[in-house]
Amino acid sequence: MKMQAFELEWTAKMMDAIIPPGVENDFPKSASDTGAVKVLEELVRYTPFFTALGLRAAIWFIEILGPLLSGRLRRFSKLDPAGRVQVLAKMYQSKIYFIRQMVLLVKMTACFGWGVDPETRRGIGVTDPPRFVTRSKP
Amino acid sequence: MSGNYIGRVWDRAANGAIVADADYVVIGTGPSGATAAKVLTEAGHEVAMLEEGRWVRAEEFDGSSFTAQKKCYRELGTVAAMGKNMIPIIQGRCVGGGSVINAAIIWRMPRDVFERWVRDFQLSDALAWKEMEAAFDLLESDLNVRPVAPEVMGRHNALLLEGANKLGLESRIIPRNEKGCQGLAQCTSGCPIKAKQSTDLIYVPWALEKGARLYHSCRAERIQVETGRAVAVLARFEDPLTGEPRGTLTVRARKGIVVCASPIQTPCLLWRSGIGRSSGHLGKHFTGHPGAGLICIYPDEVRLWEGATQGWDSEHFRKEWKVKFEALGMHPDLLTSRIPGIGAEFKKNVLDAKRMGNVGCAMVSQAEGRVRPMGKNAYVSFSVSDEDVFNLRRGLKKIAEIMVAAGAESIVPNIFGLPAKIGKDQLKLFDDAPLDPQCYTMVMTHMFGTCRINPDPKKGVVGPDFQVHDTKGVFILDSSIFPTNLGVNPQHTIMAVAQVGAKKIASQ
Repeated sequence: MKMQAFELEWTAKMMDAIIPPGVENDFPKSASDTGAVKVLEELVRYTPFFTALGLRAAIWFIEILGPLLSGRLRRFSKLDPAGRVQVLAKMYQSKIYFIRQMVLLVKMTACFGWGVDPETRRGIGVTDPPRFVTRSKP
Repeated sequence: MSGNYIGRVWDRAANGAIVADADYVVIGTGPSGATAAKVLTEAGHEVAMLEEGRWVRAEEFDGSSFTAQKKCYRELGTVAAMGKNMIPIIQGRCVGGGSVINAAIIWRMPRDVFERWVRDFQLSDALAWKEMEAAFDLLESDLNVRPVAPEVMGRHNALLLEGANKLGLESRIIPRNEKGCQGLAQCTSGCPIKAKQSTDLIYVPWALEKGARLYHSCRAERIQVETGRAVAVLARFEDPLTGEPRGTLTVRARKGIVVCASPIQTPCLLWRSGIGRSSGHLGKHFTGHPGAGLICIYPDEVRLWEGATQGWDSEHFRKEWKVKFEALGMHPDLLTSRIPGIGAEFKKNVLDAKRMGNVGCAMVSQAEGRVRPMGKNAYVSFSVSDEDVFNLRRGLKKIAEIMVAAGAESIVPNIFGLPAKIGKDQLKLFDDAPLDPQCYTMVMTHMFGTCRINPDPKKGVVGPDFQVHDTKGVFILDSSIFPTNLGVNPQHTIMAVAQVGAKKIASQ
């Protein structure tokens, strides 16, 4: 299943609300500055039909209904960055399990992309090449 | 991939279809399938191995979890058990199966579990403890099993050992199947230096060198049965990621078909083939070790991405509380997804990443679920029991106590209903954590049941000769035949049972 360009744009805005640019000097990049959106796009492309459908449904739910849960009458992608963070933060703390899971899903995929970015890894303190021991095979 | 296996390894049918035959067809190349193939080949039988996933080379592992998920995990890691909560199920799908993506933890089967199997499920004709011990000895030699060396222990493992010792809890430095581990903490995303002695590096090449054949990227669709006896496997080559078709395979089995496809795929294959249903137990009794993790923050750097992925564990509470604890190192792509917060708050929390420790609490679940085929895939229904969640909660509290004894300043519980971060003096908050499974972020890594073994055809799918009761020539050697879960990491027991079972099959 293939995601449409507008769905990828929505996804980028959701991921950037979770992992915004700047904020901490150690981590200047946002999620969409890395390969995070592609992670979700590939998940939708390569997972079985119903899984892919569920992933897309989560994106549509956040885009259309997410803001309503915070009493906002605009779509998620039309909100300003601060509003997007507030919507996702509220969903993340929702008493309804599936609403929390939707945000968690987007966050996990965002982290898969953001967390492997060399700049993020350096900011976190991962040395490259890794600081492992040299040990010969017995 | 190493060695010269030209003419013995296929990932497609160049002319659209391959028709072949063998004494035994082994479906699956994970811990059980590879062991079975090795034993049967050594006994002089002609063996054809079928594997749904690819043969992934170590050079393809770049340390990214998502890369590994695309290449080695079933459905890119999105398989989940559906019930009161959604529990992702981690399954390998590549040559080597789960052994490629696990953390190489070796546990001999607990003697009390074995005795329960013999007593409650009448397995004395199928398995003898002496045979199991001999199998463990052989496997430990073949797979170079040894405790984590001090130089690759990693601080996160060492601290937990210290914390458990302070509390007087039994725990250990984990023995692992590895040769030359450099402490990259990349076990779950594939070892890039071939240190982990997974079955794609050990038993699959052994079998190939002794004349076996391997068909990978090849999904077994159905077992063909004629007059009550299985005679062939009908399979389809396809790109494991994209599903692009690459031809068909028919392998006729002169002596038997050994199914080692996992407790999720094995019952589905049997179901689609009309095999094993007469018992009324096919696909039932699915269980495992679902678990949840706890993060702590130490005053100094711990660097979860350095050292053995899993170098410390404890089964102190396995019998009483039905939980097991294990350290779990990870790289930032996985770790950050467990760090609380959205937006600026999340990024601020990530600043603590290098001081974080992480421990998983695996439940010896008392619940049972069910597996049914759903198209090419499977539907798994499973809900943890109330007792499981109670055990999980007290297990997590004990882990927090170990972390604090090891010097942790605060705990990140990742439990909905508790604060995002709690101080080391606030551990009593765990006592009030909700007992709703939806409040925990769980994952399941070890699966059992669904084709349970029992001498009575009304009580099990497989008999003590490891043959399906209602169809001659179909044998099952994976953990789908296990009548209960183990409470410890199962690879070693799975391989030992496969070793014992394959020897019996080979001598028939």
